[in-house]
Amino acid sequence: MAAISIKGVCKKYGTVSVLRGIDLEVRDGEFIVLVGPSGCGKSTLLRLIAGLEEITTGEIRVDNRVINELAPKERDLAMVFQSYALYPHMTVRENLRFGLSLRGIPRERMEMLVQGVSEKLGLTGLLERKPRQLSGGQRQRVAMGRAIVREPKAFLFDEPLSNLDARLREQMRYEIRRLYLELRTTSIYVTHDQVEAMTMADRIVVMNDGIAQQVGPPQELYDDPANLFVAGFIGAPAMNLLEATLREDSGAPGDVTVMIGSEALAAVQRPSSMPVTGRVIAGIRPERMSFGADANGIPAEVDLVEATGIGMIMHIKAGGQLLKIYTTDRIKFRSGDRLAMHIDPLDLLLFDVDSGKRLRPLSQGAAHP
Amino acid sequence: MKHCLKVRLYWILHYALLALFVVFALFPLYWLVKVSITPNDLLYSEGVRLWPSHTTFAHYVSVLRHTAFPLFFRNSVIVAGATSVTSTLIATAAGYCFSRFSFTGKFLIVGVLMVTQMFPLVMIVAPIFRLLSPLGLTNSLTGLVIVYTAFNVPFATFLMQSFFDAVPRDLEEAAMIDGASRFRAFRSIIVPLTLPGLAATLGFVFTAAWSELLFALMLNSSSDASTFPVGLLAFVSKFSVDFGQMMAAGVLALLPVCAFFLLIQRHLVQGLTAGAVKG
Repeated sequence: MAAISIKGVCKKYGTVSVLRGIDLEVRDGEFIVLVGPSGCGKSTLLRLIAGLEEITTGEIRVDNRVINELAPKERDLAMVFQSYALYPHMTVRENLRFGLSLRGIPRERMEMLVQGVSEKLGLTGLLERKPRQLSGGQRQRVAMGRAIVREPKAFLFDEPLSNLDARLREQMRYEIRRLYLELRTTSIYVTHDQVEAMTMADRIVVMNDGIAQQVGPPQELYDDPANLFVAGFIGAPAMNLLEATLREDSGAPGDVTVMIGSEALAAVQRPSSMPVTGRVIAGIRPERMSFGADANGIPAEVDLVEATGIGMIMHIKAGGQLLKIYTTDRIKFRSGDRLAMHIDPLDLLLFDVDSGKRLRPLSQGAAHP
Repeated sequence: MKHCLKVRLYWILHYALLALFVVFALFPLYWLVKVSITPNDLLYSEGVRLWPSHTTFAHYVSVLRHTAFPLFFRNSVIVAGATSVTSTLIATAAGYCFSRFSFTGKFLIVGVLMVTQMFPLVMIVAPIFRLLSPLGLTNSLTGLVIVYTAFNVPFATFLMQSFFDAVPRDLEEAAMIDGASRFRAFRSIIVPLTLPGLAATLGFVFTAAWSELLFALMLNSSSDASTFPVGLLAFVSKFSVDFGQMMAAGVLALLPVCAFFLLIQRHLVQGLTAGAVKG
């Protein structure tokens, strides 16, 4: 097990910058998930840690030792690939043994380790098979086995579940997490699936455009996103992001009213930095909105109702903008029905239109610089 | 019913066309064998018969006993064997390099390799002779091996590169993370997976070197260093052509190539990489 420290890491391919100054401290035994849209640089960062690509500038340390110049084999890390990358001409047993034999581990000990891992992962009956004779889930398990059998300093996962169907993905997600809790080996896990990120991570790193947008525990990222990108990326259905204006004529001193179109959404505390134009993006989670058929509230019209089984996603129009409400109530609204929305001002997050940065209320400004 | 008939007609036509092609391709070989066992006295009197009224192995016996053919044969085995092994080794290294690395001058090198394939070899027979002569490499098998290797490496390299391109990078990266050096990953993971490619390249270069006539004729004038294509010409004299012996020698020359392909055909079968990646 090891702590991994990443300082100012940049990666350029020719003139194209893929990573633009990544700083990250992965604690010993921590499960970190790198999440972001494709092309955000998350896989590149993982490959830099593994030693499969060269770092342009910056420094990566494993257990306080700089590993920038070390060959992959000297780093003692293990990686699980999206494609599994099982050696097709070797049996499962040989696949598991390959890394051990390269390290000169005696035969008896090697057999013992292979046996132990295959029991742990339910591979005992498959040891003499070739990868092409295995199902997707079994291949995934062999890939996991190959990583853990060596007892490396850290695991690197590169979208390991992307090739599996939804059910199997859910099951493997559980198995990986369970295995991690058992082994407690430092893990860095890359995915574009935010559900995987939310369910598996101790801390999530949300990446976009080669920059770490926010680092934090899943719930913190969900409740308290640092910018528009994180707010829009984390959560399904996604956060409603509305074009709004701030009006300074609300009753209480230090408050402003958030308006969408001509409708007043809520009165909130004045942000620490008030935009000159008064224009902001107002964000609210679909499940934090309530509604009713009564007259008090923001008037809205139902556009479309989607049933997900466990709940409903209601697309509604209010103040000339489209937004979603998520509810687990069995509702009877149909397209064209009119209703009234209610918003708790504390659930309303404000973002700067130009920079996308979160506009925090004056009182919170000091707590969250 | 009508549909069934149509399907049957389709397959009959299908196999008829295939059969036609096979006959077209194999007929010269058949004729080679047929003439090689036709006695000289029947060669012209029964020239167009599909099978002679009686057969003989006399031509084979005289080729093996009374001509220098066994020597030519040995020379050809040495030249084609050495050329195919050397070319394949170089092409494997170069092809892997082109497939996996990007480096300064790569485009130029690939361009130059392409250019070497673009002009007729007859053009450079004289300069090559002038180059090899002072080095003592004319009338020598080594000279032929060098020339053949030089001419076969570019195509063999492109061939090998395409086989390496088909092997996912993930596999060698996994091996390197597992603790292998790049060379070890190449040896333990990539080479076993490109055996079909290696076999194909080896076969391609072997047949090219085995049947080459132009340079073998121009560079080596002594019969000690002649290969069998040159030897076949010896059956053509000023006033006659000894067809029987020539064909017998031809059949003998086919044997090693057939044996070689029998040996490697197991590896020519594709599909070894199935199951490596994805589900």
